[in-house]
Amino acid sequence: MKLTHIGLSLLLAIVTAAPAWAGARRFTYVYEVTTSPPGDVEVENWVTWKTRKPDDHGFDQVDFRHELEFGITDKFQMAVYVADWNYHHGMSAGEPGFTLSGSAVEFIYNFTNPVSDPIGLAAYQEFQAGYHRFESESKLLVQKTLGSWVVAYNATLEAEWEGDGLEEREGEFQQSLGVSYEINPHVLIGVEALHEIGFPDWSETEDGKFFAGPNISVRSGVWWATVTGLAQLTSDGGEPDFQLRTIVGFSF
Amino acid sequence: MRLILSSALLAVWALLVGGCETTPASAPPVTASFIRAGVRAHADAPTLTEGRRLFLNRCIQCHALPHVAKYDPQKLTAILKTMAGRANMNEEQHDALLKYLLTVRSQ
Repeated sequence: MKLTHIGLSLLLAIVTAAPAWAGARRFTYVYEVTTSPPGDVEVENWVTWKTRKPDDHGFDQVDFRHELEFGITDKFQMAVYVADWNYHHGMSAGEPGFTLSGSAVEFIYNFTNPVSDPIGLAAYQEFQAGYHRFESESKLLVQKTLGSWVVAYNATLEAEWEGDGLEEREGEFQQSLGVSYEINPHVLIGVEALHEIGFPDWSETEDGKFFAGPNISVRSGVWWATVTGLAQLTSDGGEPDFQLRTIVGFSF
Repeated sequence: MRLILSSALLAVWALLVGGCETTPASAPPVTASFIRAGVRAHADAPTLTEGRRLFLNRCIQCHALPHVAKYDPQKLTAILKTMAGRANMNEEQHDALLKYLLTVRSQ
């Protein structure tokens, strides 16, 4: 029953996607500095499967995001995450079932070019709101493109408010690094790594968590899809041992 | 552990970025000699400048910049016709990019 639920969820997310390359992503956990061209509208469907925690071997969660991305100018794009929701199962996940997390809006502004300038730079800001929940996520995006190689780094500061009066607060600092190599214009392979440090109530500092794994990106005809598998290399009991993210894109 | 991981990430980054070229051979700048070469493609300086800007901003979103010398002009024109749609270019932009690439190829 569990595998059927997960399999059907993944299939649903993939088949609801459709074709185009305009904002094709090389990574799923790391953002690149380039932005969609003005007038471009793209739909991206995200599916993230998280499984098995050190303290909860029966844990499974599948997160879904449905994004509409708009190119505004040559340097600026915005996106709306229409709905963030998940299916969860396991001792640490509460009652098994579906949860709607909220919706979000995202802005990316590009400052410099990763090919012609010494370094590519961009700024990212996301606001997410849900039931008794508000989150702000700010990123500095850094990238260098060298021929068929792309190296990208993100530094992220996340602040979250939860509860009836949004009185519960916590934060997180994350660094992510991605390296991608273009085998040909249709197939790219790479690796991604994440390092996270949590700040519960902004008064404590948790031990860092580290994840890493390979990715592959394929483009064919008018669609693209990128898949990343991450394994937890630390032993944080509250984090999944393994996660698999797929993003499928389509623009029109 | 945290300090080590953070330092490692920054070190890898610094190693990769240090000493890198900023002007790729596949996208030469629009210099006086380049503009003279562009005359053969019926392109002026503003057109070639716009073409280079589009090459460096639109094309890199999806793939590495190709070395256009390996394509004959007819093949290059046909490929660009497909790519221009995917990169959401209008006719004027398509024309500017094609003239830039044909000038690059002629060199």
